[in-house]
Amino acid sequence: MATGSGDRISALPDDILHLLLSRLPSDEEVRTCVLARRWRHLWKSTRAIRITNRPWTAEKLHNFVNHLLLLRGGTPADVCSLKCGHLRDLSSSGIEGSGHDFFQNIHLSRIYSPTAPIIEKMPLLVEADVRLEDNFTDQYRNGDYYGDCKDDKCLGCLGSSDGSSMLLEDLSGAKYLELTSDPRLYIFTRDCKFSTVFSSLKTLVLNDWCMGAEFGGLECFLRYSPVLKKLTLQLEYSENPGVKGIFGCGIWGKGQLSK
Amino acid sequence: MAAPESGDGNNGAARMVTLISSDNTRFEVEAAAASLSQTLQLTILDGGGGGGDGIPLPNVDSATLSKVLEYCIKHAPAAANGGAPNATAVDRAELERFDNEFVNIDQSVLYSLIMAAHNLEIEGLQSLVAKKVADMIKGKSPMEIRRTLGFPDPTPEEQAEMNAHMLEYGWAYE
Repeated sequence: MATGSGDRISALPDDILHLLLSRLPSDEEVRTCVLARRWRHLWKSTRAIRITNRPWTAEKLHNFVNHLLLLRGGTPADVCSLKCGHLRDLSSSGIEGSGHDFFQNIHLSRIYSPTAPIIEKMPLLVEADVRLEDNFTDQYRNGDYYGDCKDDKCLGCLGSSDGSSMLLEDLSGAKYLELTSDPRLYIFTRDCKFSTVFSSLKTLVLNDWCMGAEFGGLECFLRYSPVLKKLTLQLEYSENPGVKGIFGCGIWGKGQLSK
Repeated sequence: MAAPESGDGNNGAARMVTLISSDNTRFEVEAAAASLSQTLQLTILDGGGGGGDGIPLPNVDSATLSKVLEYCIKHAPAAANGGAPNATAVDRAELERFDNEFVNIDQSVLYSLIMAAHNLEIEGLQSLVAKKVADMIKGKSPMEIRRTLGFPDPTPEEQAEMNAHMLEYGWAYE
């Protein structure tokens, strides 16, 4: 298949390879480092972080994200896509116990390298797609496993234990945000309590979680997104089967939004 | 023959521009299609490329330019519609079918197309070829990726180095 001449994908200039690699899920992107010496460090300079669903344990995922972010160093990302959910075998990874421990592992802003907090504010972030899915519903049905422990002083519920920033705050510079979550998970709802301002946010996609806590999530974004132009609500998890569907609200005027 | 009320905003017949490939072939194409290239857009807005002039593209040969323009002509109407929010599902499906077919090509052609898409800064085409390459890599072992992307066969030394690296990067493997 190789032509033998210079017309090979492997011979493209670095900046183009960065763009091509940035389309891959981050784990596959990292694995291209073994292909050749020239490719060893290419993955570290791409402008996207894409964590996709893998049948990994929480520990494995934690370890992966830690390595990824540590070795990328300060490389900014324009795109951050987190799809966390399909974790397996939680009990053997030592992550059982309180739900907070588990969420610390998938809560990117709270994953730390041995040396320093890794993702803090990401001012260069333009687009983020964060999906907090859940597939262990059947395994864990212990009341409030999904988040809020009803203790106002709980550090797990109030962001990380050392007061570092939370996920939504980290994403607050984005122009495009797609935040979907199993409505029973508490991460976004909790972060909404902190009045983060999304000063550049123009396009926003939310799903059912924003309707919980008396529309707390929706209210938060309507109140703190001064330049929001397009809001799409994807309502799929509705308790009422008659309200399924995707609602696009089109372009809204600011006046309408502030109501 | 008036084009549908869209496109470059000119009245009457669509404005044409001429592009000249590195091997001196001239291509006459609607300005709206050529303007999908960010690189060409300003020149065209300034009135360039019309009449007998033509815009020289010293980095793009005629075979590649012809392929690039095929893409631009197909995508120009949707692009003129501002990303075609009103496009029907049928229109979108047709563009998707076209795109899939379009990148079903030899690797040397794909290589030229990638270079041209970047030189001419055609955003949609850049995305399309990037997706194609990502699909060529996804789910493959390092040796399979090497073969797919046209790396020469590894020397025993390189093979040993690859194995060592796979161990070192165990954290990125399942």
